[in-house]
Amino acid sequence: MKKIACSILTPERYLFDGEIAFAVVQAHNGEMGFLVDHAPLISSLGYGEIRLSDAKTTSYFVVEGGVVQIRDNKLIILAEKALKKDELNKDEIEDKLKELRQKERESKLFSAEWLHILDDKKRLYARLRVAKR
Amino acid sequence: MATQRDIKKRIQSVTNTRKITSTMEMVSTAKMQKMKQRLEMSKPYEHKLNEILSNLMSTGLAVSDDPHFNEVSDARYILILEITGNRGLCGSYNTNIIDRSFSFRDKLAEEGKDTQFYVVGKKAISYFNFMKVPMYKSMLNPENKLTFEDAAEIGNELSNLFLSGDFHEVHIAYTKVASSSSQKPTIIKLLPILLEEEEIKDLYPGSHLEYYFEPNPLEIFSYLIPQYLKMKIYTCFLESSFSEQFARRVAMKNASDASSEMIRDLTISYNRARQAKITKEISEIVGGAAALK
Repeated sequence: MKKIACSILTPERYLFDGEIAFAVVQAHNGEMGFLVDHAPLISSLGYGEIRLSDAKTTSYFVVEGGVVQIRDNKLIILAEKALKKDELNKDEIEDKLKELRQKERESKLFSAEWLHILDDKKRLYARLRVAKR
Repeated sequence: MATQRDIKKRIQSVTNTRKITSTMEMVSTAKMQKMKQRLEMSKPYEHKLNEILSNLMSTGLAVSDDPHFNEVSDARYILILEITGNRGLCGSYNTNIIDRSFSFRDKLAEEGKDTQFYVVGKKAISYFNFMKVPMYKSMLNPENKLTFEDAAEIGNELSNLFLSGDFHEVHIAYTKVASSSSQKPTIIKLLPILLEEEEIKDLYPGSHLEYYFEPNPLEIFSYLIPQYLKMKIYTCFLESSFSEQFARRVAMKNASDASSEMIRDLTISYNRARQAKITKEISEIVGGAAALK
């Protein structure tokens, strides 16, 4: 069976390299799935989950922005930041979220700081979702 | 002639120095390996980024519209990002890069251009202060604590300076890793961006397929360009750190070798002095005995 050669890269490390059957990535406005022989495509990524499915197993990652390119059954995910599921700790993230919510209440609406907090919150929600898998 | 005791003392002190230098050699070897790993980790990202960018360009997108490509015909204000180390004891690593950028500045000055420096690294900062050369801005080298975010911050700063028109060109002076055994100080142009199209095409032949773009090519392009800049800065930092550790390793190895040599010579003269003393004592005894007869 034909497979997709997939690699997940960040500027600082090489996260994943291997062959998979099916991939789902978080594109800029929703999830996007890739099967073998997908048409050439380049898309930007949002904050969210990546699922790489093989015949038996599925591995989970979280990405925070970047681009994805597929061509000739080669899927390249260039993430700004990406983490494996094993690297995430659910309790830790929840603690951080709590902290952020507290900060959010204290900061002024629509200030730069407030927007920054919202952004961080989005990242954490994405992480939490993957961590709970 | 030096006495036995004096020579012994010197041997001891050189041995101590050798201990230090060989330890430092080992430390920088370890650090160098780590840097090498990080470089290798980031190389694939850079390659793929270039690949995607060249794919985008080959779709006939009007890339020259992007302000990062704007070339000022009469560029007057030039900024050089100077990457050096925080520490010495690494041979001519720091001086090489400073020399290189000063000669570059002189060349630009002949063309009537005004150059300023953005200095990274304690060594260069103190040299600039000593020479009373004004710095545009300075910071310490983050060394092995460097993250991509640090590079991203500098990247944003530099591209803002470029886009606002404060500087017409931005260059980076760093130590390029040509191979794992040869590094040399280099100056590259960061902004305006010059993508060596020919070079990229050679690397990835036949990459002019039609793509689907999500959301649209321009948006992806305007995301990738800053990313490309940041990546470039990040790798420049990594390569510089690698070169620094390499230079230190070589310097320390030379120092250790030189002290081994010195210990050898000193030991020979120590033995000579000892032998001379023994010979002298024997001849004194023989002489004394002969006098008694």
